[in-house]
Amino acid sequence: MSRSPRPSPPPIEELSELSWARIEHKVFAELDRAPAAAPAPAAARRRWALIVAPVAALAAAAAVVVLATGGDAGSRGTVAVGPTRVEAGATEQRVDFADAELVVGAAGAVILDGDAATGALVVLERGTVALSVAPRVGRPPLRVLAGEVAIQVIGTRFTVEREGDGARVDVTEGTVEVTYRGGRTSVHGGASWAPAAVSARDPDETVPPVAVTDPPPAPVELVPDASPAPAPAAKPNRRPTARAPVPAHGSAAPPATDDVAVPAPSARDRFARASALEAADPDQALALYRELAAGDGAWAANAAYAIARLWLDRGDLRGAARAAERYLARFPGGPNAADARDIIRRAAAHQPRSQGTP
Amino acid sequence: MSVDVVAPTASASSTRAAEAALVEQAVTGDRTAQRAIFDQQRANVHRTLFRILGSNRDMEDLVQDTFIEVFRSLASFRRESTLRRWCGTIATRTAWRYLERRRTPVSTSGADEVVSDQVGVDRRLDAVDAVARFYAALERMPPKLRVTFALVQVDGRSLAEVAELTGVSATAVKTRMWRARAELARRARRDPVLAAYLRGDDATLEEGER
Repeated sequence: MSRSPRPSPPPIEELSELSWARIEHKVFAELDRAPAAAPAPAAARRRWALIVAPVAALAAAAAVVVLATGGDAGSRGTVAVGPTRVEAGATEQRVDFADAELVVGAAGAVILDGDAATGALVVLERGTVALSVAPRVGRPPLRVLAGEVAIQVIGTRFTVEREGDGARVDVTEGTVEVTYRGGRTSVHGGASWAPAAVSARDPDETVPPVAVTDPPPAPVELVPDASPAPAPAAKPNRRPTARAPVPAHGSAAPPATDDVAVPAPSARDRFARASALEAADPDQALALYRELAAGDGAWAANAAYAIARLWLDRGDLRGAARAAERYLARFPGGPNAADARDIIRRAAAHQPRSQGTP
Repeated sequence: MSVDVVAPTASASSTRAAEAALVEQAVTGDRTAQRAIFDQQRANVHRTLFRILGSNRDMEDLVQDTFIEVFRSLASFRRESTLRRWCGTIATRTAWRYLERRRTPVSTSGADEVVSDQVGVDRRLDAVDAVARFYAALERMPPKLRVTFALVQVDGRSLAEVAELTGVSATAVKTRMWRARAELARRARRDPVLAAYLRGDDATLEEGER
């Protein structure tokens, strides 16, 4: 049947990846509860046991893979979204974000903020994320934050692998900028960077050393104002000097003082700072999250949930459940409401040992 | 945020064969296959539901209900249909049941209608406002009219496809379209914004029903 051009139908309001993650979670949980006549594979039956495994274990094995390609950015819409948390279940989740395509690996979780027009931030909470990113020349920045390591995409192909509190960066093509503990390093194609042990594919390739002083803990570029937030339980020294980045090859890195100073960090920056501190100084991270959660807005909700998640990471289900209850009391329809309820259910089921109160 | 669904690039026949193999795997309880179906069809399911309902209200529950039904009845999937069409049918049924459940008594007095006299016909047409009024008008229709009209007129599906999705004859679809159109026209007489929105649709509707 032929049709004349129709008036534009109402635009479809896409569901967030968080919504999709929740839907997928619920669908397969329901199928797990009432399996079909045919027996599901044992691996599938164990799926939720795997998912609810301690997040700390996932964080320990966290890795981020960033693939920046020269893809056609024009085929992607410019999507303006608030901070959105994407949590993958047992399989990877694909997301179009800004002018990048993200694949959040199984059991991974990221927070996305910004858009293609103003710049985008990907905070890797745990697991793996692969990004196909258009070259950044002439485009607003796209940054990836994984623990204490910040990666600014310039337009290339590279891999970042989370290793404990740090990360390893292997650059295949082009250049990336890695920021770590106040030092910034440009890593070029064929070279690698890691905070403690660097290996380069090309021994002649030079990778500038990273500052090994005791700078502010968060990446300078993302957290320009390093004024400390109230942190009663903060530790004076986050880690031994031996774990600081070591020079690999090459010339000196540009000094961190090149960064543009911003008068006051945004909520996003403060969240990024807290996220960066989680592994090295969780007490400080908790303090920052609490400060953020005391405010309003989407980042307050994210921070309120992050408190629960961080307690979960630390193995204190009871503390996590209390924080989750507080989150639900304030944000009953918040983006992490389902996750918070899940934490509470898990706490109720596991009779946890108390390690403290968030 | 849009979601990329990996679309098959092979020919139609090989796509059908791959789809059949995927369904067979999923029927056995293979979670990988079921997740592949979920990833492939989620945009289709959401689109169908959204076109009928006009918003994401309760959407997570509806998509969830749709997929649970998809997987529980996958063994009955007939290969002469496409998986996309089949999932669309289940989504349509889900939306229909939802509308039936939440349906409230409809006043025909006009007292609860959007009265736009104050708005003035020279008001700049606001697309968002028009769409809201359009769905407000659909909200007052019986679900069978609303579902049919949304799928044909809003989503641009053919009468034959909508007949399959809703399980009725093409003639019944035409009848429902006529009734839905008459109902909307009645409301549009009191609402110039809705009338302006529908004027664009009318030509299409008339052609589509031929």
